[in-house]
Amino acid sequence: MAVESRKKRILIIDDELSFLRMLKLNLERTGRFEVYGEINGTRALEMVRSFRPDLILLDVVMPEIGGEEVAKQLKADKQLCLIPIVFLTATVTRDEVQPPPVHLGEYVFLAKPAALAEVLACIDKHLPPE
Amino acid sequence: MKSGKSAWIVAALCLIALGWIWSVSRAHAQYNARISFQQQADSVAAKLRERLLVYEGILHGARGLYAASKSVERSEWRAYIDSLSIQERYPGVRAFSFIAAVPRSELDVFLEKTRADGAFDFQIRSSGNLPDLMVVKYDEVFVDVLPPLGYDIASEPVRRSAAERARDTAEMTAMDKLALVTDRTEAPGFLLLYPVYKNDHAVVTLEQRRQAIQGWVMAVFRMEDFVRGVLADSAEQVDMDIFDGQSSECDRLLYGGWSCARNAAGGRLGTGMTSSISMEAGGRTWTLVFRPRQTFYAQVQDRSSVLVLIIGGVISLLLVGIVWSLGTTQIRATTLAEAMTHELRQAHLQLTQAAKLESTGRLAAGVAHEVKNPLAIMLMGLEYLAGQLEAHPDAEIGSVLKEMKQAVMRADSIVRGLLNFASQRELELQAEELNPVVENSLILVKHELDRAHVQVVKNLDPSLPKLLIDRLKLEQVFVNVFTNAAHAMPNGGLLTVTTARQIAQVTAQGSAKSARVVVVVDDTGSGIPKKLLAKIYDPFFTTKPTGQGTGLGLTVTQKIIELHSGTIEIQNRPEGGVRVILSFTENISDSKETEYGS
Repeated sequence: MAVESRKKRILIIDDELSFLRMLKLNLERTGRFEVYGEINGTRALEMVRSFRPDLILLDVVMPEIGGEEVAKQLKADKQLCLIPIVFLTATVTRDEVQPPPVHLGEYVFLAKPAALAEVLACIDKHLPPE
Repeated sequence: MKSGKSAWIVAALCLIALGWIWSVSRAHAQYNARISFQQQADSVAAKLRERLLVYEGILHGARGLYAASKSVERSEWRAYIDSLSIQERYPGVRAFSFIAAVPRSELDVFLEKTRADGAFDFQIRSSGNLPDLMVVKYDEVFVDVLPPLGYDIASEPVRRSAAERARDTAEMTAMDKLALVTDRTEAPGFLLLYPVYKNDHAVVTLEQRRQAIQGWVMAVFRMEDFVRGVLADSAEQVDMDIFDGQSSECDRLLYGGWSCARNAAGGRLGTGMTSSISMEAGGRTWTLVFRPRQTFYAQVQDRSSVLVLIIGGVISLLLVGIVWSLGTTQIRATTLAEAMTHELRQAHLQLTQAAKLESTGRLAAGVAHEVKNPLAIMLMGLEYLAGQLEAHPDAEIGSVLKEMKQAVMRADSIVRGLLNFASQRELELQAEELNPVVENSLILVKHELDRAHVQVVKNLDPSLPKLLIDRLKLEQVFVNVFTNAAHAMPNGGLLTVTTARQIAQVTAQGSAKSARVVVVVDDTGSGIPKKLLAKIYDPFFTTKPTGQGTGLGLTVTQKIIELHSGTIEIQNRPEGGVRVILSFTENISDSKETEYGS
């Protein structure tokens, strides 16, 4: 538990299972993160409550419920509203979010396809301090 | 040119018509002048006849005197002459005589009676030995002329012949041309004889007339004086020559002399209008020859032909002007119509292009999203594999993974270009100077230009007005254009950037001029094949090697320029290379913010 407690929890919500898996593998390989993936947006809130992530990587375009709605629900929950959310999405281009990541409104965006280094830099920047 | 040709044709036709009308008018005027001149000549001839009749009346009167008396005494003759007031009423009469027909056998009796009548020194002046004498018995001489009192005119064949002709015909008879020798000027004159027969003698036959002849009344006229009165009003209008006889031989000239002077000068005095009229004068024929004087020409000068020339000229000029104006108006209208047609065609092409771009944009947005997710998967997978390889290094696998990652990034670049094209943003228009935008764009592509060893020449007009533009979007445009130029000159070349202000001379609206700011970018590359020129704006069309271009640069560029209400024109330069002309409307107030993208 002591080791796990040192690792930051990252929740990835993305309907692309392959992407979710690849990103999870990459993040976990760093040894710094405990990563959990969720492909269904409708279960996202439940997963957040149970997993208590330090940071959420959230896709925007998903079936049933979009990333924007998920984010709204999280922000509406007093217990969950402080969890930083990074949108990792194909709906924006690298040009629009350069230099990455940028805040669009109250959220942070990363453009797919993002290099691992970009993702890590973004996570490090937005993880809440210890 | 067409209008000019028509105007020349009309001008030529007008000249021909004008020439014809003028010649007809002139001929008409000449005809009228000739008629007027002939009327003048006829009038003078008629007056001359009248005067001759009046003068003949004197002779008739004298004959009546003899008819009324058994004998006419010298005093009666003088009283009759005095009563005529000849010098006042009959100018030109130089002498008035009664010539007595005297048979030689009765000569002595005649002399005795005449001397008894008061002519005490009366002498017969005769030569020859003819049986009959024709002696001047009474003689009232107003000017010193022949024949004198007592002169036997039968001594002269000419006068005798005239007297005999008068006797035989019982008619007024004129004598042949007579030189009034006692007149210092030797002016020509003529002589009229009228026979006087004895009372109570029949004069029906020739023989009876010869038997009954008592004598002749005779008047001597100086021609110039005789005519002067006749010509009085017409002297300013016409010159008149009078010839004794039916021809105009100068030795038969009675009056005038202009025609003789002309003949002597070989016709050099003019060969204008003349009129010849014959008239009978005491059994002889006089030929009157007339010519108009300058005053006549001045009076009858018909200004209508000149008027026709002036009015016709003015009308011709108007006609030519109208035709020219119509022609040029037609040309202007045609030019305008062509310009409008061109603009319409351009607008249609732009609409078509816009529609194509809109659909392409929507497609691109959808495709981009769906492509980016697999790319993201691939990239993450490649990153994972690369991480795994760190534990078991393999240079070849590492190289493969690197190339795959580059391919993913290239695909992402294309997708980003598509999304850039399809993204919805508003232009942020502000009044900006164009030259700094150009300068900044050149800085952004400096690395590309330097790498290709391209030299840059800038001809930037410092007096350009500000334009309403989206600075960043136009930078994107210029970067695209300059990058294309750099790619077209991989082995070096010259990039010339020119900005200028242009005044458009003809607009589709007809008359208003409009000012535009143009940016001309010339490169010295290989140019674009002609058959590909029409496709350069098509999305994904590129002539660049794979990996160097997405084929979206010019598509995006064209769209941005259109949103600025500008135009882009790309053409091959005759000297080689490509010329890109970007043109912007100068009028800031006309510019509007425009939705960018679909």
